[in-house]
Amino acid sequence: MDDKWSVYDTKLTSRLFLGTARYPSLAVLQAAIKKSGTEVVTTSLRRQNPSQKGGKSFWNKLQQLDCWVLPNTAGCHTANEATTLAQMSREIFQTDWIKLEVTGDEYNLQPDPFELVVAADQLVKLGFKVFAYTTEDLVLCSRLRDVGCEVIMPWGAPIGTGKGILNQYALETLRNRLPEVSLVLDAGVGQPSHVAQAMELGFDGVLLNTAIATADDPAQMAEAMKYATLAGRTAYLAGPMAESGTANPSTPNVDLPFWQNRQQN
Amino acid sequence: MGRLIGWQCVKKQHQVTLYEKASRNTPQSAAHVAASLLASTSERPESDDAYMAMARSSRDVWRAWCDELSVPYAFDGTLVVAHPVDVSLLEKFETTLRRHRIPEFVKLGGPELQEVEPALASHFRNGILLETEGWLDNRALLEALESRCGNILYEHSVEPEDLSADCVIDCRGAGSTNPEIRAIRGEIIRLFAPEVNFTHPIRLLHPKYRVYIAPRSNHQYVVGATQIESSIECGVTVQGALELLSAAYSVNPGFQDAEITEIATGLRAAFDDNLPRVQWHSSVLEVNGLYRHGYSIGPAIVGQAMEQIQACAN
Repeated sequence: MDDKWSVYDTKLTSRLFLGTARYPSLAVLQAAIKKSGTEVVTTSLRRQNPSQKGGKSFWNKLQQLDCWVLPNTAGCHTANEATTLAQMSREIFQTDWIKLEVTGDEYNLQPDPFELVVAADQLVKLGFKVFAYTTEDLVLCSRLRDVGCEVIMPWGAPIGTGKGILNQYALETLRNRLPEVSLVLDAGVGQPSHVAQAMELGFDGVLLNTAIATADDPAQMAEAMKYATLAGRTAYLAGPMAESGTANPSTPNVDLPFWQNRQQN
Repeated sequence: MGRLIGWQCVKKQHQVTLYEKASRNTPQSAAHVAASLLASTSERPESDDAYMAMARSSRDVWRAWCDELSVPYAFDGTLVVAHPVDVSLLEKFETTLRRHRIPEFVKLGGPELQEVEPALASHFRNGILLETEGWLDNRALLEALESRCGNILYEHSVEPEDLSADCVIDCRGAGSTNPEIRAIRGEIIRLFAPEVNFTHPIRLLHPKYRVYIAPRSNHQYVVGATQIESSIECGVTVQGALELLSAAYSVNPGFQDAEITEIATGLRAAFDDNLPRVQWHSSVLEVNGLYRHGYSIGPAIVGQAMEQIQACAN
């Protein structure tokens, strides 16, 4: 199936983005990336002494993976902090891409909507291509679009919970109301079925980390997530049937008189 | 690792010179900073069968070595716990142990938990005792090895290729020039907590942190360890300290009055698969990549190295 898409003019084939944290080893991470078929991996810099290039050997390994590296600002709590880290990451990875995360609540790692919009605005003006990690709030996502975010990444559930999509209505609304934006479900995914569900809703992609990294066999789970992404996307393109409140026989009951058929309906 | 191999070589009547980059009074090695847990089981979810085999075979060797060197140690088991809100992590941990057919654990409910470790905060309702695990006092070990591992030349930074000897062994850890080695920073805090009486190492499962509390004699504890993909050996960050201390406090509020006796960082050396290597590079035997498992699998790696050294000597 030829279903290429693009983010900020970069053409991609895979619709699955992967995080790089919490894997048992770098080798397992590499195997998972290969099995997933992903083309985009995200990594956090904040605790690796980026100003002194502390994570250089890890970053080099990531850059050898033949994937686009999407640096993120995980752990930042203010717009200014996120902007500073984004500038360091641009220098380190030679990329204008930045996955913008601004935490407002440390306990469930919920984004701070106010600082997020300020940071997104600042970064877009500095020439960054912002992938904004956000809650599923329509107004917030609209503001992010308005300041120039072409990729918006609403959560399905808080990071690392594996609870899946908690508010399907809101995500459907986002898809319907922001058709011009690339929507990538980010966080909360636990099972391949959650991935398929997001793709069936018409999301453009899914980013996940913990569900793969903490599986007993991360590479195998990565492969499962790849197929779930494909299944959900293909189903979306195929146009699912409409739900019905009553049962409808797939074939007419030709052995029943027509008035009994009518009674059944 | 260098001191252990040196010690074994001295016992085989070899003449040993140990080149140490640090000064005698400011040790920098991961071995010095580590909590020295002997974790054969609790690391299994993030390692593999090869690791398990090495950790299991190392246990009896540590008993013998610690007895010989009069180093405090214990194999009373490690207690793995999670806060009630994170109990799913404990269930996952148990599932993983079963999946790998590891029999050496006991599930504990609240009363049993309090019986095994009365010092544990009362809100913990479930735990897993990993019966065969233990700890040793790494500072006592390093001190005991000081006079037994050959002639140590402090503040000598050398390239192994430049040395002339029958056998050159490179145990530089994160200081290695091997491009396949990367450094992973760990941060620990040592506490003196007279009000806390843990007798087992405690591992706290948490969605964000990887925290353990390793007991030492006389109410001393090592709380560790963060794991950061960084080669910068700067001081402990406020965030790292907060993570470790708040985790300790949550496990026993008695830690609030503890005295912080040391706060330190160390660099662990790892290959991509986090498994160690004992391998020749022309005439130099490289022993490296012990990741955070230096103590757990140390004797197994020393054994592998000694086989190579004996072959070289013969």
